Amino acid sequence: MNKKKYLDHLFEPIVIINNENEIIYYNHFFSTFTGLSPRKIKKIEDVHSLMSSVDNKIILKEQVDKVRVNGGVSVSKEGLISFVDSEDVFNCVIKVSQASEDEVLICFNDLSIEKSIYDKYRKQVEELKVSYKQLVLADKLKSIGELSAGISHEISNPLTIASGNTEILEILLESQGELSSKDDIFESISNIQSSLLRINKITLNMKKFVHEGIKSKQFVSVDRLIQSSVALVTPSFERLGITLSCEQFSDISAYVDELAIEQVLVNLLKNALDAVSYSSKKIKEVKVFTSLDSSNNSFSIFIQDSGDGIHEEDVDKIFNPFFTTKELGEGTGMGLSLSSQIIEEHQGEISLFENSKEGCTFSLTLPSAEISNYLDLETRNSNLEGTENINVLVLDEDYTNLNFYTSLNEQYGGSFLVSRSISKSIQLFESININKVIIGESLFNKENINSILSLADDIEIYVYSESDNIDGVDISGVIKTPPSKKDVFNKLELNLGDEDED
Amino acid sequence: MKTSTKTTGIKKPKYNVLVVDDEEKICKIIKIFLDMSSRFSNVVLAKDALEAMMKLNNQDFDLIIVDKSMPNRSGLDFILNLKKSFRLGKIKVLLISGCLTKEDTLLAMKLGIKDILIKPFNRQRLMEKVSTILNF
Repeated sequence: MNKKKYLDHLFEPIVIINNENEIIYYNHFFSTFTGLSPRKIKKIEDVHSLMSSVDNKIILKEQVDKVRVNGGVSVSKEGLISFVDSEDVFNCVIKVSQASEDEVLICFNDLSIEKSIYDKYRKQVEELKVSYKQLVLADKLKSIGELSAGISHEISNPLTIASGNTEILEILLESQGELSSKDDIFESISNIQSSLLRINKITLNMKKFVHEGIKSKQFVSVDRLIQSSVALVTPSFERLGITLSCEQFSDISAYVDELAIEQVLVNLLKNALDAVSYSSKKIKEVKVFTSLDSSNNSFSIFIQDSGDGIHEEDVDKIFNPFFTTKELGEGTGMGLSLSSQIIEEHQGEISLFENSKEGCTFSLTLPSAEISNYLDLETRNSNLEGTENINVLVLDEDYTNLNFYTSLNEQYGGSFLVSRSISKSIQLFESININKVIIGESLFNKENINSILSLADDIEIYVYSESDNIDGVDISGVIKTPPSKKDVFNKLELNLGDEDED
Repeated sequence: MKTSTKTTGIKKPKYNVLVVDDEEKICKIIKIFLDMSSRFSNVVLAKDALEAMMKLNNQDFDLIIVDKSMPNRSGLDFILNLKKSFRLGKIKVLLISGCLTKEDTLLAMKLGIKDILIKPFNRQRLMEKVSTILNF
């Protein structure tokens, strides 16, 4: 019994019970913790009447019985308990262990403080997430605000053409064949239609840019990414008479959150425009070009301006939040900081590639579409313990089809690796166990099939086709275009989970 | 240069106009609107400042209608250049634009540009501005 006195020095509530479940010992802290007087504790005949579980997560009787039978230690789940004659609720974990042959020790670990800290932390994280979202949106709205003068000019031209042509149409119809020919009328109608389409395209671009969007990655052409960002800033460049030139891009694909990357590109282009317009140099131009680093499986987009460059003392600060070299009220100083955060989320890097008095070049480097898609899949699958994945490689040139499969990964836990290039995917996925391959019709030929079979002999090959059969080729099945998830999961004999409807 | 015509005994001058806009369709609309009036003898179109300079070398004009925003050289730059080289002379200028800043308006005033027409415009607005500038 002397040894038990040591327990009096502990700041954890502890009781010891005998085989009849009577409390034979409790330490000082137990009395303080529960608020029960020694007299009240003495009156408790059975330890199970000492406390009750509020959320039914803790069953003390089961724990005690288990320890009596098996020995060792039993740790309960985290749960809410209250003690007899008390209204206080405690968030606890109960540890039960054998103290001696006929004694069981029960220790109450109070987690109430930890839980309140955790709840507070979670609330702060949620608030931070909301603030970040608002910051991203504010940055987009500011960009649109700054570009609005150019955009309004861009809209006013097709509006003038459309309204002018309606007047001309009216005149032509009033003249009733005296002056007008059918061709003139059709020309006016076509001018109105093309102008309205032009306006629609501009507003759609803006809407798409400002839209918060769902944070989801997609296979996109880098060319398209650059063109849609350039389209938003071109009017502002034209307004200031600054040349914006884009090289003819090669066929590079990216697996990115399109809207987020567009926001980064617009930010960089806007900064380049400011740098050039503030410069006193005669040549005022901004260039956009790309490079593909095949050895590192990444690609880069460069934005080069002919401004005055960045001061040496500012170079280390440009990616810091709220750092700006612009006049008060002109810049929030969040553009590059947010851009860098967005690129980091894509496992990429944004940097000041070149800086001199002749101008500066920013580079944005991202992993190739295949690598990015694979990394995403790996991260997701590493969270799914105990499941064996069937890896399916999808080879197709069509972006819509590829995105169909990556969406299946997100929605149904598929393991679809997608690529537009057979040689690249074979090089990349050599060390990965590919079980099945789906190949688009445009890439389907004997040479490609042999290359795929070099990955493994027992690989199953499926082909996209509008017809049910493909003669003369040893394939496991045909997937009809356009693909449906039910058809794909059935043909590939994959488990669709609870979802079985298209 | 102004040419005269004989209608009901009163001589009404006819004007030569140069329209400069990179939007070919807008140039064409302006030409159609001006041609509907009997007050213009020649409406010449140019798609940029360079082409406009060439047209100015070949012919005299009473009015230049120029777009502010054009690639390579803006409409204001073009007029500034004409003024500096003393080629603007008595030619009147109507600036057209979809969006003007305070600085643009101040520069237009400094250059002696007679009026500004904001896009989108209709035939009536265009004719009002042109007739006021040419005083007919």
